[in-house]
Amino acid sequence: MNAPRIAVSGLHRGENPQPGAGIVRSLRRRFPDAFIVGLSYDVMESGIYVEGGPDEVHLMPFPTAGGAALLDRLDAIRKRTPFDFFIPTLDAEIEVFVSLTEQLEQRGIKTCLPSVDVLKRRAKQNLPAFADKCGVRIPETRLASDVVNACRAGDELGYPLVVKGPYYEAKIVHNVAQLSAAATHLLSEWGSPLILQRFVSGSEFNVLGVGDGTGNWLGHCCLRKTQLSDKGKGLSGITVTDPRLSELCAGLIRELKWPGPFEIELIREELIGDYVLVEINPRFPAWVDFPSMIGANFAALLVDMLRLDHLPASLPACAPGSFYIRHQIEVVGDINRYADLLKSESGALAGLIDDVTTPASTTKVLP
Amino acid sequence: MTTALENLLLNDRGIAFDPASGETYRLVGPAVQLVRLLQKGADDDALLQYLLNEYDVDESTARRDLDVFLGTLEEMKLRGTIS
Repeated sequence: MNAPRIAVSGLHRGENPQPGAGIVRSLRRRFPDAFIVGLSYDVMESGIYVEGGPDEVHLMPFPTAGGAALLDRLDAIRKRTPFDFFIPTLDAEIEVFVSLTEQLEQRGIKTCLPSVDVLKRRAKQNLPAFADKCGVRIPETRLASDVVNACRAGDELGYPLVVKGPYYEAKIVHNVAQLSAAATHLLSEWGSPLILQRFVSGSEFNVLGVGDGTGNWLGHCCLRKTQLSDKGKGLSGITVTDPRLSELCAGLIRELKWPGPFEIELIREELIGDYVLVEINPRFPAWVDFPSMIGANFAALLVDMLRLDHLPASLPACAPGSFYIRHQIEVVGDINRYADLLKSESGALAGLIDDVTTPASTTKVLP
Repeated sequence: MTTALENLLLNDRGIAFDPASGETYRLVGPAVQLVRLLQKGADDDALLQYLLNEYDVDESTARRDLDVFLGTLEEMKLRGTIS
């Protein structure tokens, strides 16, 4: 079988890391000869410049440009740099690509994405209804489309509470003034609706896995976050084995018949020790490469699902007690490569990358 | 049904890890052996006897220290039954 040619997005690491760079590392472990194409939304994504990173990188228009623009860009990229498999990693782009699965298939691009309906069922704003159907607890939740309604919902829920955008960012707020400021920021950054949830005190648990699309999974890894950044991102985590946690998550995946990668976020409530569901993410998490270093390579499993004519063998369980610590390093970029990347893409992306002018620019990066 | 204490992974350097909750504990001095005895099903009298045999301590002091230790385990919900 030929070495796989795989496109991966979301290459930025740093304070709020995206999953793509970890996926590339996992793929290199299993497929050292793979040709990996990085699809970036910003020339300052750190994973472009990392040693062992993508063989080639191409810029993409932001998902807000719409499906036609994304497809045109993929066509142009594949003319120059063919690839057969595509692993999208960012919530905002996945929402667009799930509506393009037919077009991607026609082009011979293999992906593992849920249907539009399945993606919607687990969306933050639909989570209360889905969790209720599965008999799983979630924090008491309200939706709001503007700041006034958010403050009203805050009065009902009480403080502290967590306010979230529909795709990214969550902030803990302790009073109406903080809520108002956070709601204004989230609405301007990510749009409506705002999701407000009662704050649940307890340890955070994440479950990573790959669903086979029939209701089962081909492996999963349970983790407790042991250190959090100011943004609530896991700076370290340790593998755990709790049958209650696995059964709860298996029930969610069974109900969704989820295909491909997922990350389920939960809190184990301090007072009663029960798990409360917080989010179901339709992609690999940023820590995806950690299990590949302890014998469970989920990114390679996904590629095997896409390239084999049968389901690959399930991954072994991750033994409890292994931990990761996020370790930040500097990577070296070269101004000539930076300029080449911008220049080569400028025709296709005219008007979409005007704000990228120098390596020091702080252009918007999708988490 | 098992208890969190029975499931604790314990090494010789006194680090105990609860594989379900992800909590890590550092056990000092006789605590390591006391936890090992508890995992084997020892009752409170057996624990007291261990302390009297292994340490130069009178019975009332040993009993008091053991009560504090067992109380700490309960506070940490390590002795309660879990599913």
